[in-house]
Amino acid sequence: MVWLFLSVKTIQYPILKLTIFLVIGILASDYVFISEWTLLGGIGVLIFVLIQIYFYCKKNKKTVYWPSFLVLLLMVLLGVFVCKIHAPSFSKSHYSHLKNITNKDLHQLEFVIKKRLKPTTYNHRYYVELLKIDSTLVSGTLLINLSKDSTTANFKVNSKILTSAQPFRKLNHLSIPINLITKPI
Amino acid sequence: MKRQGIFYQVFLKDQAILAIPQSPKTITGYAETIREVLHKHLEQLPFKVIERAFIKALLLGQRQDISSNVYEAYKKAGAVHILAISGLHIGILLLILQFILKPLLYFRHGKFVSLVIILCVLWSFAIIAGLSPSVVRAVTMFSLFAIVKVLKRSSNTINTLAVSAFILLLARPGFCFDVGFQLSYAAVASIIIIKPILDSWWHFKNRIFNWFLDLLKVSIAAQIGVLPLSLYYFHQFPGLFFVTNMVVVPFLIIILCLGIATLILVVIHKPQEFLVNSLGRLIQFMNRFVEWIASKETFLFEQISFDLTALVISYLILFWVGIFYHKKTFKNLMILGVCILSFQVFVQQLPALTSKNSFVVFHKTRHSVFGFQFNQRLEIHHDLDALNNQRMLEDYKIGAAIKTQSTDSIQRLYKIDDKLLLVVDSLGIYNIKSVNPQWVLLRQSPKINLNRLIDSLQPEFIIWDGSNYKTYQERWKKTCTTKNIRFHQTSEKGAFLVRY
Repeated sequence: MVWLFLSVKTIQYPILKLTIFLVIGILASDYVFISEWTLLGGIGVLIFVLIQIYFYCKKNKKTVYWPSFLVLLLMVLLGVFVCKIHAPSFSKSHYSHLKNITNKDLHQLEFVIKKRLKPTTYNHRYYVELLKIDSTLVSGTLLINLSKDSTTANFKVNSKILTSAQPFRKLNHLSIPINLITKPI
Repeated sequence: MKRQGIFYQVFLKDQAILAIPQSPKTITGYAETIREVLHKHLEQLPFKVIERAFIKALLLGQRQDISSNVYEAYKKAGAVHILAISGLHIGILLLILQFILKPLLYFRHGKFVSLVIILCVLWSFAIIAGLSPSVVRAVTMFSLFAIVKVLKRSSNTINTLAVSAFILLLARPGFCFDVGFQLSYAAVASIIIIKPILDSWWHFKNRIFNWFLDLLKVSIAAQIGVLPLSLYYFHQFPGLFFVTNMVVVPFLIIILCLGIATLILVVIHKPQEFLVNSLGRLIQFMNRFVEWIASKETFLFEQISFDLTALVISYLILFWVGIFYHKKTFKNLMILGVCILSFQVFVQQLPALTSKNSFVVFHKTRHSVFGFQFNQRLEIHHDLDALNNQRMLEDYKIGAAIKTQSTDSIQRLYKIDDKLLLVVDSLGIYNIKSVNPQWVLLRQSPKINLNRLIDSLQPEFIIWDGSNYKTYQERWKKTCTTKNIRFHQTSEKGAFLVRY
């Protein structure tokens, strides 16, 4: 399919091609297990080779087409790389690196409200940016469910809040509806 | 949510919550303050609740106050895109600005000045609307369009679109998995590609007629591009989308103009009563029209089963139709044919041919619901009062492409493939001499000794569903673990599913 796509003469849209291969890279990033630094190295080498080819061709007044594959490969690598460095767990201070957040103690949290979500029947919901857990400085976004009866205060976006909370619950266990989990045997 | 980088949630209840007073120093903080001010002014105007909710959604990007009924009606009428601030709003805003700033073009450097003004207005609008991803996306896209138009560099719109996608994806790769992102890019791309094709087919001489025809063409083009995605995500197709759009889009343009005028006037001075009244009327009328369209349910096609394969193949078909339209060669026709053929094989024929029988124990608190799927027929055995509006069943039916359905009451014994399944209910009868079941299903909290049941029946597998007491379930769990028998508890692991 990719070969067919490349061979279509009517597509004279170079940036469209680049974007499509970037998307392929982003989609593939979940299945690629190469470290960020190796990827960065690969991208650097590719760019270097491409520049060399460019100057070689300019000097000898030649036109070659095969390096376009290198460009597309570069785009795929770039997509994977961008996806990897944007993953929140890439940051060392992300709260998911803390071991004790899921145990049953109360934790003191300090966070800034980022966005008010549509409230559910029982809860006000907010996306918040965590600043501190207990005394450790952390980063990362968290979903806060604030029981409707506990307070009538409607927090503004960007207000800083200090509170203590029960254990963190993993989201993916809760967000999947129970009747969709299936277990074939 | 995992894609948005949010992995955990916290429940807060009756705990000491301390808001630290902090002056808003970031851009979003200022935007929030501006919104608060506008909101306070809006409260003083004589709007009805629903009208105010609409103004807040359309102009300030605060959708929280729109009730789910209204939302559902807009979804059914195929006009849900106007409720979120997206490409449509920003596009209209850009057109309005270009119209207002036209006189500037007669001056020297007029183009440049108007571009700067347009960019400033668009981005301040985005900031006031809370810099939500959809708004940022739309504003980025249209800013690029505006810049390209002024620079007159390569008027190739597809490339401009690709550049904006490229920049956005480099900055936020997570957008790639965002439904809104996919929908808006599919819509814009197909408008750019398909609209010229439709233009070459038919147009009117009269300018006003032509304007409405253009609207129709744009909405058809957008719908074609978005159709596979919307079928994949929402499983429904609003058949009257073009009627809705023909009426709602002109309304939206007027509402946006009046709304912005009102917002500006409300801050400076008390706005004209006439303006406020007409704005309220317009919103009411638009709402009533959309509700009327949504009530015509014959034109709404619901519960369409559409999986990832269908999505990919249908976009391949669209792509090659476009290619073939521009270059009618034998090779392109062949590829298009292969695509259509593979759609028929993989999406229509294959699922019907491969035998798909399955048995499902759904999880429902205080009730038992079993499903038996034989290819595209679903037999439901249940003890519910009514079968309507059961989300899990509807979802299952869409996922498994079920065509017919029948219901029955729950039996005592089932044969599933080559296994026997004994259903033990509140009577607790399981000692039947002639039957030797491999699987046992417990429902309605039978008062039995599970140890004794295991000893006498020697089952391979025990299932219990949501109709049992929680204490019973805990006890059974312990018994099964000590007896080393495999079990499935629907309240923990979800529905039980066997394919055979």
